[in-house]
Amino acid sequence: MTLLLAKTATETARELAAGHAGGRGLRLMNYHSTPRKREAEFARQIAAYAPAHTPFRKADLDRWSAAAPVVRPWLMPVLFEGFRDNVDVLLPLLEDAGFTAWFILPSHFPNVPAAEQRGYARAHTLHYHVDEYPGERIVMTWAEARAAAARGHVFACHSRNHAAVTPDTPESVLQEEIVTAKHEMENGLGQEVDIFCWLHGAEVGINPRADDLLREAGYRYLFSNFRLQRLQ
Amino acid sequence: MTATPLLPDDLSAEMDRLGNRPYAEIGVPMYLVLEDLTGTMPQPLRQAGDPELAAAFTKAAEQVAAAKGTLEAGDIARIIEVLADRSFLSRPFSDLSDESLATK
Repeated sequence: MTLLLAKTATETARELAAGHAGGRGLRLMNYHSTPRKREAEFARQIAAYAPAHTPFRKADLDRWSAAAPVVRPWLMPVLFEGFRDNVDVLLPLLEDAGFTAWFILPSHFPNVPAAEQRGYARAHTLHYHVDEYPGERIVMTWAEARAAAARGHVFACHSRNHAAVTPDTPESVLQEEIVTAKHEMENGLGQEVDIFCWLHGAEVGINPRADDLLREAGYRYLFSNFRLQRLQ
Repeated sequence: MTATPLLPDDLSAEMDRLGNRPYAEIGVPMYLVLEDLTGTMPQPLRQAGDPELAAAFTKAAEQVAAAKGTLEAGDIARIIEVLADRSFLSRPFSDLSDESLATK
């Protein structure tokens, strides 16, 4: 895995430290697959962190610098890839604790036929090691996604096919992974999607054409490894 | 809130330990930084800053750079993992994980 930065690591570290000192830090809980066998562990962890944190909601993205001071730090549970066990296992626990879940999923993954989803996952760096649904789908359905979105949970586009970007990514790939992905995800979800995230979490500045295309397509935020950047 | 020192005695060992967890099936605490690239959001920031975390981050980056002769993006990710593990709760977050459940 190659993490790409727009600046040197030393400069990046300096900027991140300044961000934390200036009150722009945001706490995350990153999840991928969330198997039932770990349900008790997830519940124990959520019970521990919930009382100490303020749920970070979509509306907070647009007003974080003007919002009323938060006494307890914000926390954003981020659920990558769109696996079915996110909906079946983790989401109910997060909802019971009052958290907004932030789903980041490749737009094409829910459209892959159930029988092909495991192969698609293997071919697209979607790590799925605990198969608790033998013979069944492993990805959340769009109906499940729409229902979660209707309850206030947030969906971000993780490209179309779980793609990474480099300085040399060709235009045709950028179009599919940025523009086609947005249309595909909005068709499935039934609402606008304005947050984007690359595989390996590239930030603004890695590929200027990709940055321009994100803005042209209508994305307003780029979620990366170390930053959540407001684009427009 | 934090009862655990933000930086462990052996930072490198802790970075390696946390870096070997089964990321695909567990919850991992992390930090990121909000950035407004439009320059249109009102100031000043209203969430309290965390100078202790910022100082620990800077110190850890300097330690790693001194030990390795360079600092890489992956090092930053590992440093953040260590800091998050030791700052979200009054004890290390990873103490709440059940390592016996890890898929081999």
